[in-house]
Amino acid sequence: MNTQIMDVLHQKFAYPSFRIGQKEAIESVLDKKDTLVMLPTGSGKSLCYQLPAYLMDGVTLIVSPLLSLMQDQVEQLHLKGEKRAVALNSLTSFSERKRIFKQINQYKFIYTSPEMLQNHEVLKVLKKVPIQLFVVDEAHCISHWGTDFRPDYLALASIREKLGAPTTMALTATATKQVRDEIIHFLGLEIKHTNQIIQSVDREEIKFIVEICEGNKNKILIQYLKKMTGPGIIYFTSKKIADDWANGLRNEYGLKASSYHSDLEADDKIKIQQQFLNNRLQIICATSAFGMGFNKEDIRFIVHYHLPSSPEMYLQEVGRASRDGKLGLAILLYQPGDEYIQQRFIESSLPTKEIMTAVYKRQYNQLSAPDSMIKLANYFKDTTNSLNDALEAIEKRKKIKYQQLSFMLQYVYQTGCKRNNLLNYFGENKRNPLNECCSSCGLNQEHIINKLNKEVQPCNQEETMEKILPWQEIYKSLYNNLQD
Amino acid sequence: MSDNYFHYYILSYFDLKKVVTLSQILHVLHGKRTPSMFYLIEIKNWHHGFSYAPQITRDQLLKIIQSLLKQGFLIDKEKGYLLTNKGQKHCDDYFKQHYYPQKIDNFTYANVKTPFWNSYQLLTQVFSELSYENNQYIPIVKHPSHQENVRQLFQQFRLNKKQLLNVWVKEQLFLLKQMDKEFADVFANQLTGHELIGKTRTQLSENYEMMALEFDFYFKDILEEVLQIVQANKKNLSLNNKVLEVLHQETHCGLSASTFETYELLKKGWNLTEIAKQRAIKENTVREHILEMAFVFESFPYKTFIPSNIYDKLHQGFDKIDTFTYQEAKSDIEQLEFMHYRLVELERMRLK
Repeated sequence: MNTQIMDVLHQKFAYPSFRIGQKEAIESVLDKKDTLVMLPTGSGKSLCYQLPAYLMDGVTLIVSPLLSLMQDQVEQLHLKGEKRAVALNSLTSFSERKRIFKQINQYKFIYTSPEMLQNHEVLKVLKKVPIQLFVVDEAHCISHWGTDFRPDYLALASIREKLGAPTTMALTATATKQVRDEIIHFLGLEIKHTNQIIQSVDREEIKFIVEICEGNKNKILIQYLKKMTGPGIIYFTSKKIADDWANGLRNEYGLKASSYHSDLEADDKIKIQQQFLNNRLQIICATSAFGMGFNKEDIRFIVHYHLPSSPEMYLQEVGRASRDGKLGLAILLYQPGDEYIQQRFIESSLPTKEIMTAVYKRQYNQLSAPDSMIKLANYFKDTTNSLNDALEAIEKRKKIKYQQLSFMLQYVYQTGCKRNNLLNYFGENKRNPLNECCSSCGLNQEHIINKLNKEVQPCNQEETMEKILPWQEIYKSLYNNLQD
Repeated sequence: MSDNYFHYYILSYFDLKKVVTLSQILHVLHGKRTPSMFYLIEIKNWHHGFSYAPQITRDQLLKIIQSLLKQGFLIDKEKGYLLTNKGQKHCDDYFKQHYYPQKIDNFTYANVKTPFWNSYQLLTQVFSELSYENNQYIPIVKHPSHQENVRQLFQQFRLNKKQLLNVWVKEQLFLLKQMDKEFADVFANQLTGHELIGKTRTQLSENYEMMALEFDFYFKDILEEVLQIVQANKKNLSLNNKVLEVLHQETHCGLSASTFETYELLKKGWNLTEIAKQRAIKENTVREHILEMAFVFESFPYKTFIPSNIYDKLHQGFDKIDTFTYQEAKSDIEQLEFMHYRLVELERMRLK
């Protein structure tokens, strides 16, 4: 089996060797063991279920929380020459869905959403195919303690049963022990019989800096940006601030920067990703909408202009740096009071008493809340016995969010090693101090930034990127001399 | 307010003499499909705003209007607002410096514009990569329905890929040549192909020193022109027309989903009563659907829905009094329906 695994790795994925944790995860599911895999961000989690698919008959069904993530994964497989991959989700048109159903047996990889699996017709079709591996990506979404709790994930245990309880692999990058236990419990797996392949969330190559600002955050950020040349992402909590910064960096500092958030048209989002990937942009001023499913290996720095909501979120975003294993820098800029922004988000992300009361009385027409909020309110209604119980559950959830935020504040202010502090949150033991570890461990900023800049590929300075070309020139370069 | 395009755009909806209400503007921006809204948009030439901001709330719009009132650009009148001379001057001055939408004067392409642009970008990329014989690329448009349409197009034409590519390349050249030069540059610079990444709207708007919203309207006008050219050149742009036809069907030919259903039955020769019965809707709803069709399709055979004697009498009424109201018409003409009145009114408006 070992040789076969290595052959597939070389032939299908063109990798010379495994990264840490991958092989154990693959062997575990090939051994038909339910498996929980926690590997750090950027460590190649998808390979853990894509590779075994080639050594098993039947279909690998992957449940994914984000439409764009599904689409990206399918495209990546297509690019690798694997055409038997498909995404079945709310974007799939009726006729396309019919076509997929008709040839369902021809697929090796079916990506879908938890919502879609609750569709009777979809489930009926999937029951007819031999599902060898049931994969739950971003499995922390199932946990109340997770940052991205999605009520729809809770239906996965019964769906899994209906599909004949196939071997299951749950994947996550950042989950505490409590979250991991909930993943196993809510997926209907047995803790005793579930293999847990847990790797440290630590990414040694990424160095941590926290700056406590005193009304001079913008100045500090500019100082950093003047020194760091490399591709980087600056995360903001507001789309408008992201836009303003991108504008300013372009117009006042001559940097190749662009903003990225949910208001952009879908095609512009892809153009920005492609420009960044091809080093035509140096800096992305983004909201949390940027990054999931996006893989640029040489991102050298991640700046957080605002305090992240939780350590899970922070590590996810920071983990987008240094996927090439080279040096990276994670800078958190904190201005006392920044936590209020997150507090507002917490308060507005959960149903209020008014919403819950209206949902209980089925007075939906009196609600002006978005659908997602009503769905969440219905979840609390369906999983509790009374309005009071539901409100209590919401308070409990709010408390969890406040605890996560409070950890981030503690991270900012504590004077000990930042890395150890984060590892401690995820239940990991303290590690021996690293060289140039974090701002609390005496990291020499100048030195580290110099080193960082040495790793940077120069930004593509092509003038064509800047100026508008006459349409004739564009037309000419689009097609390979066909127009002559 | 010097850099607030949307404020001035909203200001441009107001008139010195006729009261305009907040609800009217809100319904336009939300794309509300009632006969009275279609009529209002048609008469005021507000097509550019139709369905432009479906998410905008009453409160957000009210805030803008309150700011316009505060600056003396508007005054309260009855249940709406009138433009002041100061407001008109500021509005005119502003749009001397900034682009104001001017190409959209109908509802025909309201639904299809964005899907067509997405398909066009994807097809350009597919054909560009095909010309370089590369199949290792990330599609610029990820929505599965567009990718499915491309797949079907290749199947449908049954030409070999290279032949289809040649047709596309020729049609693109034809289209770009037909376009206004600056429009063609803006259009082409957004296209993605082999080793070419298109520019984003923000990048282009900065190049043209436009604000984001201003560029948005500017680009909508460009797409309107593209669609008009495609539609008008069925022979030279047959592949483009094929793409447009599929998307037009998918987007209910510019109609609402329900009106489209009625439209399909009308095409099959069903009459108004039969349609109402079949669809379990009121006959009046079917009449409203017919009115929507008349507003959306300029060549819709609306006369077949007006008895000839009523048609003549309505015209006589309008000939006598320009402001011939429905109430006046109703008292003059037996068996008059509101649909008859509105259809004739629309015909006269279009003939002007």
